Amino acid sequence: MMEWLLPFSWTIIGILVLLIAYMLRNPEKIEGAVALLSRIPALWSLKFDKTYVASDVQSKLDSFAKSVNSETVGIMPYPARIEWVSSADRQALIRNNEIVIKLDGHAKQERNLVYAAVAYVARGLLPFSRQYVDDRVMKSCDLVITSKILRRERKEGSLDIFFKEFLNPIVEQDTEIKKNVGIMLKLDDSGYFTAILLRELWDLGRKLYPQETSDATKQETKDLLQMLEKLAEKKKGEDINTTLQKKNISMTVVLVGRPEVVASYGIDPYIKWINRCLENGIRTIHILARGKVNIIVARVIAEHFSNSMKIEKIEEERISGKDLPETVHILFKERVA
Amino acid sequence: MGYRKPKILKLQTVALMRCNMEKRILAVHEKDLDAFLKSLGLLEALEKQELKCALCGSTITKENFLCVYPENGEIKVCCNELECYKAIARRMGKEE
Repeated sequence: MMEWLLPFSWTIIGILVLLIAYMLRNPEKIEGAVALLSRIPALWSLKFDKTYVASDVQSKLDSFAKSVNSETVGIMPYPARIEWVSSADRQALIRNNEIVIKLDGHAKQERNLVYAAVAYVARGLLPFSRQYVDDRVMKSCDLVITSKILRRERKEGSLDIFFKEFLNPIVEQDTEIKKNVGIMLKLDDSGYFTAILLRELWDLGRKLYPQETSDATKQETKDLLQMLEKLAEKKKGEDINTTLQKKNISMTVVLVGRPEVVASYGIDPYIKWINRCLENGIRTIHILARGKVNIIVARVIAEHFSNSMKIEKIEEERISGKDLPETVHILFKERVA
Repeated sequence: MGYRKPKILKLQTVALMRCNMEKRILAVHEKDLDAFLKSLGLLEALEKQELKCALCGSTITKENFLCVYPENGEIKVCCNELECYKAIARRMGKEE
C-alpha cells in the first residue's frame, strides 16, 4: 500500500535523524515551539496554561544560558526546569530544603518571567563560585545578568517590572551595588563582562570549590572589579595597570592597540611583557585586540606562545561590544601538567 | 586562523561534569494555590488572615503570596515585597 514511499525511505530516515539531532542540540528551541503550540489552549485549559508558562520561561532562560556558555563554558551550566507542584509534604520540603514559588497564569507571563529569571540566576549563575565572591559583587552580577536576559527577550513589560521593582530599589538603597552595576554595564558595553569578569569568577570556583570561603578571597573579587573598572574607562593612549596578582586571582590583560609600538619594535614588547608576567607568577593572560590590524597582531603574539611550556591557549573568541569595532579575546592559562 | 568555540579542557572538567544537571525551580500555579496551602496545613490560617510573612510580618493573602521555604525545621511563608524576595533569592543562591 505504501510502496510508493520506498524510494524515499532513506530520505525520510535522513530527515528524521537530522530532526532528532537538531532537537538534541537545541532543546530550548523545542521548548519555544511547545510554548507556542500551547499558547491558544492555555486560554481555557489549566494543563496547557502550565505547559505554556513553564516552556516559555524555560526556553528563554535556556536560550540565554546557551549564548553565555558559548562565550565561556560553565558560567550558567544548568538548564532551567520549572516543576509544577499542586501539593507538598512538609517533611519532604524541610528535608530537601526546597523553596516553592508561586507563578501566575499566562496573562501575567511578563511577571512570571521576571520572578523565574531572578530565581534561576540566583541559583544558576556561577553556581560553584558564588560562595567565593563578595556578596555585593555577586548580587550586582545577578542583577546585570537578569537585565541582560530580559533585554535579550525584548520583553518591555518584564524589563519594566524588573527595573521598577528590583533593580532601581536595590541600587537606590545600596550605593556600592549601584557603583558595581555601573561598572559592569560599562564592561558589558565593551564586551568584557562575560569574557573577563565572569570568566575569572568562574575560574575562581573551579579552583576553590568545595573549600571554605574567606574574606580575603572575597576581597580579591572586589579588587578584580576595581581593576576592570579602569579597563572599562580607559581612554585611547592612556596607560593603566591591567594586572591583578593575588593568591587566587592572578591575571593580566594585554591590550594590543598601539600600532606605533608594532611599527617601531614589532611584537617584541608584548612578548617581553607576557614573559615578565609569567616569571612573576601570573597564571592567566587575556589578550584583547580591537580592529583588524590589532587582531592580526594579537594572533601573531598568540602564535608565538603556541608551543610554550608555561601557558596554553584556552580559547579565542570574538566579543561584541556596543558600537565598537570587531574585538578578539585570546585566553592563555598556566599549562596544567 | 579562524574563530572557534571554547574547547572542552581538563581544567574545566569540574563544572562540565555537572553540566547535565538541571536547575529546578519548584512552582505552584496560582490556580493550585488553595490545594497547595491545604496540603501544608496553611490554608485555614490564610483564610483567617492569620498567616504572616516570616520576613516582614505582613499579612499574607492569595494575591501577595510569593513562596514557602523551610527554615529551622519549619515551613515559612514569604510575601512578594522586594525586600522579602531579595532575602529568598539570597537563600536560593546559597543552597549549593
